[in-house]
Amino acid sequence: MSGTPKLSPRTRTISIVPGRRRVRWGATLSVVLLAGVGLVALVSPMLSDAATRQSVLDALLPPGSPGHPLGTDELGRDVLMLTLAGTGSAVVGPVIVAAGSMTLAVLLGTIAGYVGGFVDGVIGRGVDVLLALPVMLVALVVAGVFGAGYWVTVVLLIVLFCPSDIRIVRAGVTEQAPRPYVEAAQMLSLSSSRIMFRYVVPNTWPLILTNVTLNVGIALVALSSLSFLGVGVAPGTPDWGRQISDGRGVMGDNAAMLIVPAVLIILVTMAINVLGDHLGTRLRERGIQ
Amino acid sequence: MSTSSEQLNARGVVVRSLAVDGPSGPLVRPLGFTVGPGRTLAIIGESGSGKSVTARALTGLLPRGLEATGSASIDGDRYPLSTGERSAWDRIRGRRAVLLLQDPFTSLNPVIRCGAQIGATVRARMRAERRRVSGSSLKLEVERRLDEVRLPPDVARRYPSELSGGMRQRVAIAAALAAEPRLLIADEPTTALDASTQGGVLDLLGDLQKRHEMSLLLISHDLGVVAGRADDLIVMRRGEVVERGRTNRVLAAPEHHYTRALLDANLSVTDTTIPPRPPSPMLLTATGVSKRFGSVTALDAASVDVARGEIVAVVGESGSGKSTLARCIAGLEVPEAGTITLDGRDLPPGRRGRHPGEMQIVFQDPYSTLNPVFTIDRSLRDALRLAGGQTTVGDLLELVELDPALGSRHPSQLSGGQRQRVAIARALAPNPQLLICDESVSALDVSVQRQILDLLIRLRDELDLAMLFITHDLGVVANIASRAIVLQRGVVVERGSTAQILRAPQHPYTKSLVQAAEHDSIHGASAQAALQVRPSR
Repeated sequence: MSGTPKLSPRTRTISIVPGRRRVRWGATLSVVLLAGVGLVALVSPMLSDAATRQSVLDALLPPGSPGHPLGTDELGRDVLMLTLAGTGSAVVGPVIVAAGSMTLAVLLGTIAGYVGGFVDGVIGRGVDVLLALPVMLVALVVAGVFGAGYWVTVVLLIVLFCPSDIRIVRAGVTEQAPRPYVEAAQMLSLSSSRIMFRYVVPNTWPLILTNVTLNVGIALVALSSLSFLGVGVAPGTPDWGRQISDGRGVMGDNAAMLIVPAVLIILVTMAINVLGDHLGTRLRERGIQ
Repeated sequence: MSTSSEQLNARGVVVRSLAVDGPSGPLVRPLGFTVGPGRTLAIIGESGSGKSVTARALTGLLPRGLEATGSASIDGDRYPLSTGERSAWDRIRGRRAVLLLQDPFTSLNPVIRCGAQIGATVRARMRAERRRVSGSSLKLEVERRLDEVRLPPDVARRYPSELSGGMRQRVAIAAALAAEPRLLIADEPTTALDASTQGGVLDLLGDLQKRHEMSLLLISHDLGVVAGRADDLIVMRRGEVVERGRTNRVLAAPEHHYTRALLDANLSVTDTTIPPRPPSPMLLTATGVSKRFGSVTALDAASVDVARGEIVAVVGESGSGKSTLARCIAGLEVPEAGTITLDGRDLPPGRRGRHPGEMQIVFQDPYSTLNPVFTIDRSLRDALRLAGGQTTVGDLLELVELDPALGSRHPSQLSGGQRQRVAIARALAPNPQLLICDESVSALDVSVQRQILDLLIRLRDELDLAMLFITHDLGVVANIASRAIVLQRGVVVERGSTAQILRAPQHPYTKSLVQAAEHDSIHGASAQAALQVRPSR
């Protein structure tokens, strides 16, 4: 079938006849990039010593210097090692934030959407209150009260990410709840928790998955922003956001210090979104909406 | 077939070697046809026959990924079907050829007033004719178009949501005709409408077509719709033409066995096959069931009873409250008033305190009735969980005449009929005393409808099951129920044996329903004569 037209991924899902499997370069590249980043994140704690080795003599070397391909910062730390070592905090936190907030959201959003009535009202008002809070301001205040720290920030972001996730899950659940397959399960007198978490939730997977991946990207940016503001990780710790913050002052001497982590944040965020989109499409193709 | 030069100069529509290819093979094999001015050609087929794809190919509205080849000419103006260029279609689509869609509930833009939607077409035509468009001339033209479809001028100021389905389809027709097309393609124009409004809309289409000397291409799954309305008929199956000819000839003496099967499958209202049941004790008695949704009374003191082994139909059009009655009985809605007694026991309102062995429902839509993430096996195992019998998933599948090997599949890998069989198997898993069928065959192809009805009757006989069958289709009632009640706006207006209701309806509403059904039945007036020469099989 050489004459058949190339189909866009969107068409695939609405087409009447299932098409051929095609290699999707966006998704493949994303997987490769994320696998690489994940691997580096795993070994990054071991790099932290090498990354934080200071040498006043080598301060602010430009990229391409011997022994320092990306140059050094004002403390003489190697920017390449710093960036690699910073991968851990850049990746682990956002993943925990996205997964943690979605776990809470699936629990609360499903109950709100399926049970409805008073329960829905209580959860809904709580969500409204949390949504009305200015995220960055709260983060700064909390950091001021409890002291700045990576894990404090992660927990804070989970709480702050949760309300919008709850709304999304609730919307997905209210869409599924009146469907005949749910009512058929009610007719069989299956327990509500079984119907909620075995019937309804799996059918909102594409929605959940897409949002988790979106949130990893947003959390990565948020954590980096907070680190940039000096709230996230402690000063001196290798971290992409921290690097951008510190790199601002020395842009004239070593721009790589700012550009490299910034580009990495963009790339990783994009890769996660592309992958999430792809997985959502694949699930939808299998008849789950 | 005449020579090609004659065809090119001919008025009307000539389509040559229209074919549609999809990513995994041809969807429509090359076919050609002509529709003279003022004449109607019907394309008949079940789902997957390629009839709608053919209609869309003629107006360049194929979904992405499908490609058409061939050509069409309208009044001698020939155009290729293969082009994907939007601009190339601007000359044809919405000018010479207009596609009228099935669902008037979604084909009109909900946030634009009806007048403006008709006005958009009027304006486009006036511009094309280089006429000056003024507010007053536009308003006059819109009102003229509304008058043509027999709607009052004030409809122009209304939003689609303020109109009934039939009125919306009239607005859509007015908008289509405002383009003064030479070819009107109507893709299942009345399938989404109630039976009593269907006839009116179809007659209107016919009138307008004659008056404007348009060629009409009528796409339908329903032979009843085209009998007496189409001059010629093409029967399609899996992208191929299986039979074509004059409508009267095809209906009277079908040559292809598939056409014959379609004719036989058409559920007639006139031959009731279900004998009345000998009196037996009542299993279900629902009395004075009332339900309100906000300020709307959906159900007003409705009552119905079903005896063991009996099938009772609840008939009504959309909005009559027939589904609400079923849902109240099943406990999926909590009624404001009324008692529901099963086997001498009062049932609580709502699902709480109900037992799955009391009653089960088979829903209408085979596509959402099964959990998409579960395999068939898993769905049925869940259904058997609380039943606690010796029944296995294999037994259930066998009961509904399905291959047990289908158990490992997901619902998306089954046909509509197969899914509905699985839904019936699931409903039977807890061994219920009463089975409620809520429009359970309405979304199926006619030939499949027949099979499912036969299955239900067989199950009733084998399991001595009582059934409450909710339907809008009197053909279905005639073929399955021994008694029926008729609901209109939440009130039971008539009750009696099926024969009584179909042959001697008392209430004016029932009369209008029966009339509409007879009119649309191929065994009705227009085809009656033709049927008499139908050879015996």
